[in-house]
This record gives sequence, C-alpha cells and structure tokens, in this order.
Amino acid sequence: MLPETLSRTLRNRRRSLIGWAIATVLLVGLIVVSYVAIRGQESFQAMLEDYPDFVQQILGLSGGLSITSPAGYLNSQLFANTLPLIFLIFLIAFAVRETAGEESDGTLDLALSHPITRERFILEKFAGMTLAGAGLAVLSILTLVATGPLADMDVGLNEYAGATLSVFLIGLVFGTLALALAASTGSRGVALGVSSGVAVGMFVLWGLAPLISGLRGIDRLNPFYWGLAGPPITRGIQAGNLLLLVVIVVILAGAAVAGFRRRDLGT
Amino acid sequence: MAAIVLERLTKFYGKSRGVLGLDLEVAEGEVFGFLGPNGAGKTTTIRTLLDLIRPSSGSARVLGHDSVKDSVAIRRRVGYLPGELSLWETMTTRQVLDHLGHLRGGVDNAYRDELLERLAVEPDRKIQDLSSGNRQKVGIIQAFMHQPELIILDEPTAGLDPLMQQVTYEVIEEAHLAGHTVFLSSHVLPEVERIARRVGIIRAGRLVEVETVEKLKERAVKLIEIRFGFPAPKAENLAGIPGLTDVHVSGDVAHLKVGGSMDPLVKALVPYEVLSIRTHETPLEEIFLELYRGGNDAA
Repeated sequence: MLPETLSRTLRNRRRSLIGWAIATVLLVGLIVVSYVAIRGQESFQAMLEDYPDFVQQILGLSGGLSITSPAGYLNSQLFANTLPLIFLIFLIAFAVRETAGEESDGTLDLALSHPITRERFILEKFAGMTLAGAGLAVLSILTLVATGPLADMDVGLNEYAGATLSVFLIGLVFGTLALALAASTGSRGVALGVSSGVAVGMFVLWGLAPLISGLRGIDRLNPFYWGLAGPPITRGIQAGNLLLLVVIVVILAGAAVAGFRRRDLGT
Repeated sequence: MAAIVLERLTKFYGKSRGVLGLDLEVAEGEVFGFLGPNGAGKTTTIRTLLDLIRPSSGSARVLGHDSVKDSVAIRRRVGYLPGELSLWETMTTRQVLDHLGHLRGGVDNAYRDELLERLAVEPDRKIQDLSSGNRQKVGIIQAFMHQPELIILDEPTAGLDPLMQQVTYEVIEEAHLAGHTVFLSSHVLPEVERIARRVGIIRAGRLVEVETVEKLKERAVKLIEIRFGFPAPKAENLAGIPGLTDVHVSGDVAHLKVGGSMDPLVKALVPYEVLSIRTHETPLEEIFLELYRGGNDAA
C-alpha cells in the first residue's frame, strides 16, 4: 500500500511548504551575502571578546571563533540561533497541526474509520514532518553552497552539510517531542506549550553551561549540545553526534506511536 | 452470524456517563434504527464499533471481530458516516474520495460515480466551497462507495433537502436489498419508521427498548370515536371493558382509548346500534416521545 496519509499530508500543506522554502532560501542567502559588511572589521571582534562567556556561547562564538571569519560569522548569525529557531518553529507547528490539529478538526475520525492502523497513521505523519524538514535542510545547504562564493567564503560542503543537518536534527528532536505529546494527549495547547517550553529551556541551559560548572555533566543530556558543540561549521559532519540525535528522535517517535495507540480519540 | 453484538458494553469518559451495559444484537442483512435524544449515547456506541474509542467494560463484536483486537479487519468491511462530518477543506470532493478509496484499496469507481451523479455532487469543487448539505452528501458517498457489508450511519440525513433525503433512503434500501446490514442512528422519527425494520431506543446511556417497528405500532394506544344510534350506552357501561381508558360519552358519540387488542370492545358493542367507528393510531412519534421521557418504560 502506498503511503496515502503521508502524500495527502504533504499535498495539503504544499502552500505552507512553498512559503517556508522561499523564506528559508531568502534568509540564508541574505545572511551569507551580508558577510561582506563584517569581513575585516576586527574592531567588531574586539568588542565581542569583552562579552561574557554566556553571551559568546549563545552567539555561537565560544572556543575562539572570530565573527570576522566565515565560520564564526555563519555560526553566530545562522547556525547557533536563527536556523535552529526556523526548524523548531516549522517542525513543532507541523507536528501539532497534523495530529492534534486533525483531531480537533474532526477529520481524524473519518481517516481512522478506514482500514489503516493507528501506528501507521502516526508514522506517516512523522515521515511527512521529517521529509518536509529535510527538504528545508537541503534547500539551506544548496543556498549556502550557491551564495557562499559571492561573499568569498571558504567553507566546504562538508561543513555546510554538518552544520545544517545538526540544527535540523535538533529541530526534529523537539518536533517529534511535540508529535508524541500531541498523539498522546490530543491537545494542541499541551503539545505546543510543553515542546516549545522545553526547547527554549534547553537552549538557555546550553548557553549557561560554560558559566555553571554544575551543568557540565547535564550538558550531555541536552540536544543542543550534540547539535551545536564543535561547532559543526568548523568540524563538518560529526556522525556520532548526529546519530545520537537520530536515536532520540526514534525513541520519541516510538513514544508517539505508543501514546496514540492506547487512547480514545476525541471528536 | 450477527453483524453487531454488544455485550454489557459500558463506556465512561472519566466519571461522566457514555453508555451503560448495552446488550444488543443486530442480524446480518437487517436495517436497524438506533434512536435517542441528543447525548443519550448513540455516537459513543457507534464510535466504539469502529475502535475510535474503547469500551470501559463489556465488548462489541462487529462482523465476528472484536472491536478492539481486530479493528482494522472491521474497518475494511464497514462504511461509516460520522455524526459530525469533517472533511479536508482544501481538497476537492474527488481528491477526498480518491484518498479514502486508496486507504481502502480496490474501490469500484463506477458505483462511486453513480452516487456522485444521483446525489448531484460536483466532484471538482473544493470542500471549503460546499454547503453543509453538499458536504453531507460527500460523506454519504464515501460511506457507500465501496459497497461494504455493514454501513454505519450517524444521523445520515442531517442537513439534506427532502429530495436528497429521498435519494439517500433509496441508496440505503438498495444496500439492504443487496443483503448488506445498515445500522443508523437518528432522531428523525419518520425516517426511522420508513427505513428501519427494527429499532433500539437509548436514553441516558441505557437501551430502554429493542423492538420491531410493527410491534411498537401494534402496542400503541388507539384513539377511538364511536357514533351510536339510539340508545347510546352510558360511560359507566363502557368503562368496565378490558383495555379501555379515558372514556367520554357526550350525546350519541363516545371517545375512548384502547390499548392492545380491540376484541373486548367490539364484543361489548354488540347490543348497541353502531353507526360508525373511527380509529386514530397514535403516531409512532408519540410512542417514542413516551419512551424518551422515560414515563413508560414497560410500554
């Protein structure tokens, strides 16, 4: 059987997907091209070095990265904040809209009165979210490769891909968390509130980690650590870190299936 | 084999009542009407049959399958029209029907297209541009298009104009003639009287009555008007006859109510000159209202 629910989901969201695709390409392209204004402004770097560690970490400039270097610039302007935020918003909204959203619309009743298992339904929704997010990630990488030379950036495909995939997977972790919450509770509010709250909390903890020694170990429980440490824009694809994020995603997807299987569906 | 068997089916939503201890058997090939006021538990029962919700206790078997364990096998053989139908707004009717058909696989498009035509649905308009009556028609088509063995309809004619109600009744009748089972909930009484052979009446979560429509009518109290020639009997003379109530005589006309058989009354009238007898059957509606209110559980 073809993945009918998956294709229906992507087809019905195509206008929104096109909008997100255009916005992502424009944003990434503009940020890359704006590098020409920063390049060589060493006084800018000197000012940032006076900032506390916390701010440097949040800005993606820890570990001696300079904002005037291409990698430092991209990390501080794109990969440490803007792009993760885009993936988080897009994936969480997608997950909630396509599960709890269908439930409160009432279309879930009709779909699940057909011979499709609940497991399959929720997994096709998960696949739809993952594919849509991966599409944005690919567009982001292509835009970086295409516009990088315009701003004289000497960053390779491996670094672009590693950095983009990392933040996509951070987004996917929280998107799948939203999926699990929406599938288990049927509540848009709970899924949206809890998953974005946890995401913001984890992001702040990631920023605070260099400041508070007690957070050093707990750091390792934070998806932002596995997605941003390195950082990937200088190290390229860090397969172990990415794999770890994938494992978290798979566990959360399993939780979504389990939560959706056992409960009464609302009308 | 029975198409639907409910055994002590009970459903609570937290502490609030859904249905309580329903026992019911619907035979294969039967058209069964499920009647009750809003909130009585009709939709709860129906959604349990499709495993959209799970029983708190008791069980439901549909076409021989357990509603929880074998729900996919059930849903493969059932057509369902939800009570509050929602369709994907940005899709066209054709896309919706294609999608649902693909979820099933093997849907005969010829019958689907016939239904589109008979119900006068324009398949290439988006759902968001359809009136509620037209949406309902799309719901009816998707429930029937694969010619399922069991068709479960929750308030099927809600929002339909009389002409389309008529078509819907015909489609139900055809499914019945083809040997398929129809289980429909309704609170439109003439509708049920017309298409169902047997009805179950649910009130406040409990089945209060399961009976054929004929038997219900038979049991109905009849209002009778008798015109006598001279001399008319006195009210006291008639009041003693078994089955009679509310006897009023004015001049040569008697008004009375008879429950059950007419025989004792007819025999008692032999000594009198009877010019005419007019009977008014209590409309089925009255019987249902009585049962709904719970004023006469034993009726």
